[in-house]
Amino acid sequence: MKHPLRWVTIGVGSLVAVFGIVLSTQMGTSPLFTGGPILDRTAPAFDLPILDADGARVDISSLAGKSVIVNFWNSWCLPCKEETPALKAFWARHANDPDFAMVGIVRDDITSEVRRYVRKEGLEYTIALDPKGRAALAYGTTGQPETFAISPAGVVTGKQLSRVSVNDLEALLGSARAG
Amino acid sequence: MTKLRAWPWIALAVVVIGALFVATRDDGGPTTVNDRVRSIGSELRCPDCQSQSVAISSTASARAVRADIRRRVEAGQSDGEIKRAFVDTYSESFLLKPSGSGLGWIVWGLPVLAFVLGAGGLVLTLRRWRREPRLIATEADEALVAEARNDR
Repeated sequence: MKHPLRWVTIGVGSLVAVFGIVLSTQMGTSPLFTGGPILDRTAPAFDLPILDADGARVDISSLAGKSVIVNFWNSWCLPCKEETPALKAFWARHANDPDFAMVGIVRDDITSEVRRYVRKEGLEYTIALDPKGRAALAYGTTGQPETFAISPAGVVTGKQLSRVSVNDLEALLGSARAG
Repeated sequence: MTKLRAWPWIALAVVVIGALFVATRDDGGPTTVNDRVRSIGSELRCPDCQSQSVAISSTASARAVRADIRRRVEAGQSDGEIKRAFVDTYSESFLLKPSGSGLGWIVWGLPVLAFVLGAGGLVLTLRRWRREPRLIATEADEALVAEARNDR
């Protein structure tokens, strides 16, 4: 080896290049942003109080056999407010579908503020409270809004971070019905 | 003379090994439930504030994770089982300290490899410098320098 230092330099440079290439291929592919492990798994159970329903609760087992859209949200989050019209329009379109259910789960909010927002917006689908954040944790949420699709067999078939459009919701429902 | 030259290297090796031993020795770990919750939480990423650990974040998600860790600790789960449960829900990126498997080996392995290569290069260079004869000015060289001085 005539110039060992040159070879060492080339070796270190190659390692740095490989490291950079591997990192660049990983950017934006964090499972937190691309669906995560929850997809295609049995939907985590939840049993939550429904807002202003005299103690009535919504339980994942009571939704078995239906295609379910679960939307994690709260009243202070701007993207949640921005997606409200889409959720209302989607609900109006499918409210009478016998095989369909939609649950809005409130994470990290004050009940009085939730009540005020629900009344103001006239939300008619089930709004459940998750005061200890257990359901949000079980679904692996990293914020709000996050929307999940659950098949009649109870499998998570779709997930969307950030606000949803009516088309997004239709696609999620389609994945649930196909699942 | 050779033995004397070796002593600084031996001393350096002793210091490095001693420091590694002190830094990596097991101090018994946390003993109370609170300590374990804090210890496990310090290794998990806060779900909605990704630059902070669950142990220090005050968000609702971090509080929920801490409560879940506490429940699992009290249920008798090991630290590994608890961390695996969160990785199972959130993926490997939930761990602040990457594991040694998968792409995680790059994070741990490459610096070590780079250090070994760098140290190897340094050793080779030093040895080459020692092997090469020192330059001694010949009479012709001295004459050349004298001539240059006279020209000024």
